[in-house]
Amino acid sequence: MNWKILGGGAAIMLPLVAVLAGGFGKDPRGSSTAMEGQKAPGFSLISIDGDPLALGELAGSPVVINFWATWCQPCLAEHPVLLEGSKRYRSRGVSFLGLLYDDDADTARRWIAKHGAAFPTLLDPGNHTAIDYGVVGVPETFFIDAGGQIFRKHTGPLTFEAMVDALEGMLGDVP
Amino acid sequence: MRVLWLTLVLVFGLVGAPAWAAGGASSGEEADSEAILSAPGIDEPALGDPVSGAVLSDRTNRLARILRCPVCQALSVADSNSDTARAMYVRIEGFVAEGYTDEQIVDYFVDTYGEWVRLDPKAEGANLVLWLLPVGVLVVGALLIGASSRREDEVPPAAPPVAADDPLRARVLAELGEDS
Repeated sequence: MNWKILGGGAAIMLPLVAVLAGGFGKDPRGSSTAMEGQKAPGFSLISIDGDPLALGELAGSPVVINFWATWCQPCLAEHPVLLEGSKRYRSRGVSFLGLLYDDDADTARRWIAKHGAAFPTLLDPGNHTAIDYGVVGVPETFFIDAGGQIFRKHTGPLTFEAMVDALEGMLGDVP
Repeated sequence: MRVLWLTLVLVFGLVGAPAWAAGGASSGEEADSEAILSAPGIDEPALGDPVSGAVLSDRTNRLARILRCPVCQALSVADSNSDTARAMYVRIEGFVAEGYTDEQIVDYFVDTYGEWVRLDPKAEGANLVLWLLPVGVLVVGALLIGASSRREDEVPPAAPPVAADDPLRARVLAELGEDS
């Protein structure tokens, strides 16, 4: 066995394997928390019922923004969690908003009539607001503190435990 | 030597491809310019001048080729037909038209999506490995090939002269039927 060639090959391959292992070992889209700690991008949108709503109107109170779509099965799975959260945390001043992603108002209205709603859902034509928030896919949920900063971004269907953890952590930060 | 070459080809192919593949991206598509109520975009004044026409189109396409479509697998914004990529294209076009510089626009997407949104990894930190390893492999490979060639060119030392009365020589000559 030629130990020089073996050693040379190992010296070349090991850093490469380390880099690839690091890259393949995580989902770069799923783990992106780039927006956490940043000021929540403002927006002024229209709800599926035709009512205008601006994020600025909720300034000073914590907000939960959930990007979702009717064609998204995980969104259906997390829907009861969001409904429960909006009811439970309303008394603590938390507002919940849904932002429709790649979907239309008629379909969303039918979906909500079937599955229920406890907070407004806003239209985001062109997904411009989703891009401002760095949304990769739905569902994604942003927890915005009373100061307007993104406290946490949750990628994927929200569980009750994850929601409570984020909200309690966020509300605990409020002086 | 074949093992070395195979290793070089494999490593260069694997490492070079992701780092330099973005240069071959094709031209972008026209995106719809559907307007919507306000979204803030870049939270600072534009540092350049507003542009339009061919300059706007060229700069938008160039930026769309270096930014990753977030809902695709290894596709640039320019190469994707997804709604999200088209929306990103429109966003880029709007920023360019307003006079934002390329750096401001790329920084905006890096701020929202993270470093991952760059198709070309920035040459810093752990990413340096991706940029330097192919060069290192080439240098090491060239050195090994050079060393190997020098060894092949070297003339082997001459055999010591055989004495005329060497019994083995006499025997070989006898078997060949030659006289000493």
